[in-house]
Parts: sequence; C-alpha cells; structure tokens
Amino acid sequence: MNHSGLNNNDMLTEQRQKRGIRVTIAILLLFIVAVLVGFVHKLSQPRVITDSELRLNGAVKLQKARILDNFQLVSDTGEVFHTDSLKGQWTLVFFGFTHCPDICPTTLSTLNSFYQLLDGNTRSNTEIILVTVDPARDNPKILHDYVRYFNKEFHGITGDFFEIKRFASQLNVPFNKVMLDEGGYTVDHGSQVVLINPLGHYHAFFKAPLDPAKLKLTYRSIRATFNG
Amino acid sequence: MKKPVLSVWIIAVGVLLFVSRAYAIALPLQVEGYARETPPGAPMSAAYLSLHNTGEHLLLLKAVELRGKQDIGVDLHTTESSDGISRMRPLEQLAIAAGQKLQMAPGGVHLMIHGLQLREGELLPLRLVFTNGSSLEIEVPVVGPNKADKEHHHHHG
Repeated sequence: MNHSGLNNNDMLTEQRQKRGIRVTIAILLLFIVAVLVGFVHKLSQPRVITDSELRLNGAVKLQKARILDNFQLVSDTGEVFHTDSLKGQWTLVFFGFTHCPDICPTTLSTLNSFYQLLDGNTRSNTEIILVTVDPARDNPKILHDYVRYFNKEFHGITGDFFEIKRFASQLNVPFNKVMLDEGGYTVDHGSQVVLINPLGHYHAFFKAPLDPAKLKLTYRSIRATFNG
Repeated sequence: MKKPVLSVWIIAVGVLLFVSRAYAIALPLQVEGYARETPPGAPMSAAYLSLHNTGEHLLLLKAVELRGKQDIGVDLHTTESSDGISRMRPLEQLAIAAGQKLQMAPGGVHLMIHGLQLREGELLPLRLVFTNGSSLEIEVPVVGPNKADKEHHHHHG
C-alpha cells in the first residue's frame, strides 16, 4: 500500500513538472513571437529623422511649403496638366529630356529602383513625373513611350516652353539651352528631384547624386511628419 | 649565293610581321564595359568603359568608332555637375595615365551613341583610336535599364 502510494505521488509530481515545463515553453514562445511581431512592425514603420539628418541624406525640406501659381501643361496622354493635377498624392518631379544619353536615363532608372523599394500603400499615392526641358523635340507621344520604358507607372509632362520655364522657376529648377560646336544643342538643367505634397505645394527636394535607399529613407520620414 | 639571301629575307619579313602583330595585340590596355539599351523615343544612348593602362606611357584616346558603320556617331562626352546643375559637354580626347584606370560611369564620362537603336543582348563592336596611331577593337554588351543601374553600383563597390 505504502509503496504504491509513493508511486502515485511520484507520478503526480512528474505530471505537474511536465505541465509546468509545457506552460513555460508556451509562454517563452509567445514572448518570442510578440517580440518578433513588434520588431517587424517597427521595421515597416517609417523612421522619422531630423532636418539635419535629412540634409545629410541629400534631402532638403522647405521651412514652409510653397504654394504654386497656376500653370497649364500637357500630360503624355494629351490631357491638360495643371496645378490641381498635383493634389491628392505625393509627386516626385524630375526635369529632363530624351536627347540626354547619360544623366536622364540614370535618374529615371534610380527613381524606378526607389519606387520598387516602397511598400504598396506608399507607392499607391506616389506619382513620379518627368517634365521635359526640351518641348520642341519631346511631344506627348515620344515622352509617353520614353518614360514608360523605365516604369509603366511613370508619366511625362510637356507643353509650352514658357509655361514649363515658369513651372520650373517656381520649383527652383534652372534650365538653359546650350548650342554645341559639333552641331545641335543640349539643355543644361537642375539635377534635383522635387517633392510636391498632396496639397499640391512645393515641399522638399532631393539633391543629386540620387541613391534609392536614401530616397526611400528621407521620403518616408518627410511623409510621416506631414500634417497637411 | 642567291639562296641564303632569299631565305634570310623570308625570315626577316616573317619576324617583322610577327613583331608588328604582337605589338598590335600587346597594346597595354585592359578594357571592359557595357552600353545601355536605347529607350523608345530617344535618339541616343550611352556606353561606359573602364580603361586600365597597364603600360608605361600615357595613352590619349582621341576617337571611338562603331566598326563597319562610319555614319553612326560615337562621341566622347562628360556630364559635369556643379551647383545642382547637370551639363553635358563633348570631350576632345581622354587621357589615361600610365598604370592608371579610367572609369566611365553614369553621371560622368561616357560615350554617346546616336543614330543606332541599341537592343538588350546585342554586342556593340567599337574601335578605340589613340593619338599615337594605335587602335583597339572591343565588343561591349548592351544591357537593359535596370541591369545598367546595378552594373553602375557594382563598379563603384
């Protein structure tokens, strides 16, 4: 009797111990999962960085976003593109032209890499446009095919030379036609990418040389601190 | 009397041919690079070479030609960036100092190729012409838009 009673006690203790171990393991696993979920969540959140950190990473945020005057340009599908077209989403604007073998394809390719790095939500309200500084040679059809080659979601903008000049001046982007000795001409142009906020105001710019990872970091931080 | 002279001549010419051939092959320059596909709508594209002068003398690249096509323009260009403005300018010639490597790269020195649509997967046959009269024939691959970007980063690394 005594003997078997001891055995029963032993078995009970053993069962309790086993249960205790299982509970501990379950708690530990839950804790690990919670930490991982928190970590992944934190990773997916934009990192907010200071204005000086932004500058170190090539982005300059304006003290106060600049309201743009009315302008009227033409999109690469032939529709009117005006000030209101910039409202409702973030827009990255680059000024370039198709007779530009080096820096323009390089920039569009970098913007494509940057765009691919964005998460779906951010991408869905991010517009990337190329405004030509050479409207005499870049009509909507040519721009349409050129820009889509780099990314199907990108758009080209052309229009009257002086309207483009006025639009560019408001964004502090200089450009200038230069005759070449070998014949023909080229256009010197500001190499920065301008950021316009969803109110349609000039908000910030990214200095060249552009880097996809830095663009992503600064762009997401700027978005996170926007309270339009 | 006549026979030895003739054989000496043959040997001499043979040696000369061999030496000149060896000299042409042995232009002390290692070249690699790539060209970018021409985007639709664009009349021009660019190629980027890395030129490593392994010799003891300065080499001056004065022209680049597309082999077999005289009407296609290949121009030495550079993109200069200062005060936030990009300026594309032609270069007269390109100096590659002895023992030095000249790296062309997007946003800097490049070859502008116009009058020809370059397609991904093709090989672009180029002839590099130097001021000392020598020349070098090379072929560089044509790459698509996103590969070109990766190539660029790879070279920097």
